[in-house]
Amino acid sequence: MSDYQILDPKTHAKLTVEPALIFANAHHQFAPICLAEVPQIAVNYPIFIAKHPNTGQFGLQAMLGLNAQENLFLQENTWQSAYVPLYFATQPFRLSVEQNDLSNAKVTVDVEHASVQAETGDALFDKNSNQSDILKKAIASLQQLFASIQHNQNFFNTLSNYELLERVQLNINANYSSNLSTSALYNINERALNKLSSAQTHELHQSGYLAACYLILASKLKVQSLINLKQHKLHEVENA
Amino acid sequence: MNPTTNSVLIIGGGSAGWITAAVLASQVKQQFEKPINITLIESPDVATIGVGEGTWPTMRKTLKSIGISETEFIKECDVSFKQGAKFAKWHTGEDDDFYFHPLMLPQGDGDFDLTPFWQVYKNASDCTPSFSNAVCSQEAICQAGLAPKTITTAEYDSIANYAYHLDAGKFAKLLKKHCIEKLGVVYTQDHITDVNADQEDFIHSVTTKNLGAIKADFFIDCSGFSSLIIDKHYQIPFNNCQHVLFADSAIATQVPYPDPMSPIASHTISTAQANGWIWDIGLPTRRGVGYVYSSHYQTDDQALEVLKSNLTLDETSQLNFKKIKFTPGHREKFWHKNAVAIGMAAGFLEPLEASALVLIEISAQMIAEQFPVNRQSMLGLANQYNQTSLYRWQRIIDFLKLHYVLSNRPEKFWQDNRNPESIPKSLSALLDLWQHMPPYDQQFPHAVEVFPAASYRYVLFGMGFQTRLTDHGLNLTAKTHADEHFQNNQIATDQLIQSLPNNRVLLQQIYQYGLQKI
Repeated sequence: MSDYQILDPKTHAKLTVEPALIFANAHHQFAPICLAEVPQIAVNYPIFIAKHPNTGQFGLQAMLGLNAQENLFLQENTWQSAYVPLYFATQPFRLSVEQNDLSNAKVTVDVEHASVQAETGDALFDKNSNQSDILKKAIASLQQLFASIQHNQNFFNTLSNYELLERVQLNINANYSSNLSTSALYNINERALNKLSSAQTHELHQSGYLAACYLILASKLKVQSLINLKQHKLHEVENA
Repeated sequence: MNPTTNSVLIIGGGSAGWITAAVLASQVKQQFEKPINITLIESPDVATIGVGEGTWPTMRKTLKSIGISETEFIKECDVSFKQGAKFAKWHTGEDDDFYFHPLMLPQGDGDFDLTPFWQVYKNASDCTPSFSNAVCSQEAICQAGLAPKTITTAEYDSIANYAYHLDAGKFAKLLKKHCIEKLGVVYTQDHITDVNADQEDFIHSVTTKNLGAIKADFFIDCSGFSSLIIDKHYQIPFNNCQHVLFADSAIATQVPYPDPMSPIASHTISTAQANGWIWDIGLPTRRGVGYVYSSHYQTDDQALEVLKSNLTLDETSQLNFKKIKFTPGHREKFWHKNAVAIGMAAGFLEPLEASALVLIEISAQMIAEQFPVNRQSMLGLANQYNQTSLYRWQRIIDFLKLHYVLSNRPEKFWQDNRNPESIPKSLSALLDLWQHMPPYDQQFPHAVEVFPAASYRYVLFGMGFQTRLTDHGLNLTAKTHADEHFQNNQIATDQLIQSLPNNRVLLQQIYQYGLQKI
C-alpha cells in the first residue's frame, strides 16, 4: 500500500530514500508519460494512447511489458534502458495538485515505499532543513512532468478534433502474452494524418504536435524489442 | 407538370419538427450537390406538449448521424440512461408482481432460442429466475442502479444497450440550435392562418399572420394535435382505436428528488392501476411522473387522486399537474399529395412503450433516404410510405394491447381489455400461434420492424404466458447448449455488475470530463 504525504522538512527531517529501491513499485505494463518525454521514450519503448479509467481522458503510455504487471526493463532493481520514464524515475515522490491549480502543486512522498522503508538511504534534508541534491533533482523532474500536463490536454483535444485517433488491437503471439491488458489501446491514425490539408498540417507542426504524432507512430517498431526482451527472458529461465 | 423539389417547409417546432428537420437536413446535404432549402415554421402562440421523455436505442444512431455530440446532448437536455422498462403490477396486481422489458437481446438471439428450455425449468421450479434474468443481464444491472457504460466507453457506444430519458423541451431547444447553426435550416416564427393549394390540390404555400405567404415544394406537417394540413386541409379520416386501447387521458407532473444525490433509476417504471398505469421517468434533476387512464372508467378528479396517492404526501403539496386529453389512433394515411404528417399530427397512442419518438425518427429517415425529388416521384413514394407506416402503427397498437391482454387483474377496465372484441385480429392470430411456438423474427415480415421478436418474448414470458411444450421433446445436445448459454449469461451478468458504475456517478463524470468520440 502507498501512503503519499505532503513533504515537510520538519515531519520528514529524518526520512531517507534508498536509490537502489526506487523501482520497487514499478512492476507495471504501462508507464504514463508526458508529451515532453515523447522523443526519448519513442526510441526506447512503444508508445500507446489509453483512456484514464476514472476520467475517460486520453493519456500517453509507454509500454513496458506484454502482460499485466510485467515490466521487462526491470532486472532485479535496476532499470535496463537508456531512459527511465519520469513517472518511475521520480519515485517515491509525486506532485499533488488540487483543482488543477498548478501554481499550488505540493511535493508528496510515499512513506510506505520500499526505498523509504529501507534501513539505508540518502537523506532528503540536511541539518538546516535544506533540500538534498537527490530531492532537488526529483522535484525538477516532477515539475517538468507537471508542466506538460496542460500540454497533453491540448494535444489530445487537437487529435480528437482532427479525428486522428483510432482504436488498435494488439496481436502478440500467445507464447509471449497470456493476458494482455484488456483495456482498449489507441494509436494515431496514419491515413487520417496523411490526409490533413496543408493548413492543418502547418498548424500541427507549429504546435509541435506533428513531430509527436510521427514519433508515436514510429515507436510501434519497439514492440518487436519488447518481444525480443521477453524471448530472451524466457530463454534465461529455460537455461537456468 | 413535374416541378423539382427545391424547398421543404416543416410546420411545427416540437420534437417531431426539429428531429425531422435535423434528419432531413443532414441527409440531403450528404446526398445532393444543390442545396435543398429547408425551413421550419413555428407558431409563437401554440405551446408544445413536451411530455415525450423516453426514447428508444435508435435515438443514439439518429443523434450521431445528425452530428450532435453525445456529451453535449447529455449535458444540455437533462438526459439520463434508459435500459428498458419495469412493468409493476401488470400481471396479477400484487405488490411483488413485476417484470422487465430490457433493451438487450436475449443470449443467443438469432441463432439459438432459449425460450423452451427456460420454460421447462420454470415449470419444474418456482425458483427459476425470471425470463429476462435467465437470458440477459439488464434486469440485474437496472436493479443495481448501474449505468449501461463507463466513462471510457466512446460516445454512443454501449456496454449494455441503452436509450435515453430526457427533457423534451430542452431537447427541442438543442435540436433547434443545431439545425440553425450547423445544418442550415431556416427558422421562422409566425402563425399560419391558411393553407393554399393549386388545382391538383397540391399545396403551394401557407399564409402567415405577419410574413404573408411562404411557398414550398414539399410540406411536412409536425403541427401536433392541430394537424394543420393532413386533418384541417386534406381532411384525411382518423382511425380511432379507442375500442382497442382505452386510455384517452393523462395527468403529468414533475417530482423533485429528496436529495441531489438520490439514485436515478435507469429504466422507466410503469405501474398498473385499476384504470390505467403510471409512468415514472428519472431524469438527473427530477422525476417525470404521469398517470395514463381511460376517462370512461373514472373521472379526472379521481384520476388526480390516484396519481397523488402514488406520490408521497409532502411531494404533492407544491406540484403542478398538467392534464392531457387525446384520442388514441392515427390518420388513415399520412402522406397525401405533397404533404406528410409526422408526430402527433399523424397520430397518438399512450406512451407505454415510448413509441412516439422512434416513429418520428424512422419516418424522417424514410423521407430523407428516398427524398421526393420531384412531384411525379411523390405518388409512388406516398403509397409506399403509407403502407409501411400503417403497418407500423398496427404493430405498435398490437404490441401495446398485448400488455393488457395478458393481465389477470380483476378490475372492470382490465376485464374489458381482455374482451376478445377489443383485441385486433392480427394480435389474436399471433397469440394463437404463440401457444405453440415462441415469437420469431420471421413472423414479422417487414425489413424495419418496430419491435423485434425479443420484445414480444420479454412481455409474453414476463407476464406468465405459456407456450405449450412440443410433443417432440427437446434435443439433449441442444439442452446442454442452452445450459451453457444460461451459465454464460450469469457470468456476464456478474462481470457487468462488478464493472459498471452507478448511474448518477457516470452522469457526473460525463458532466466533468465528457465522453470521447472514439
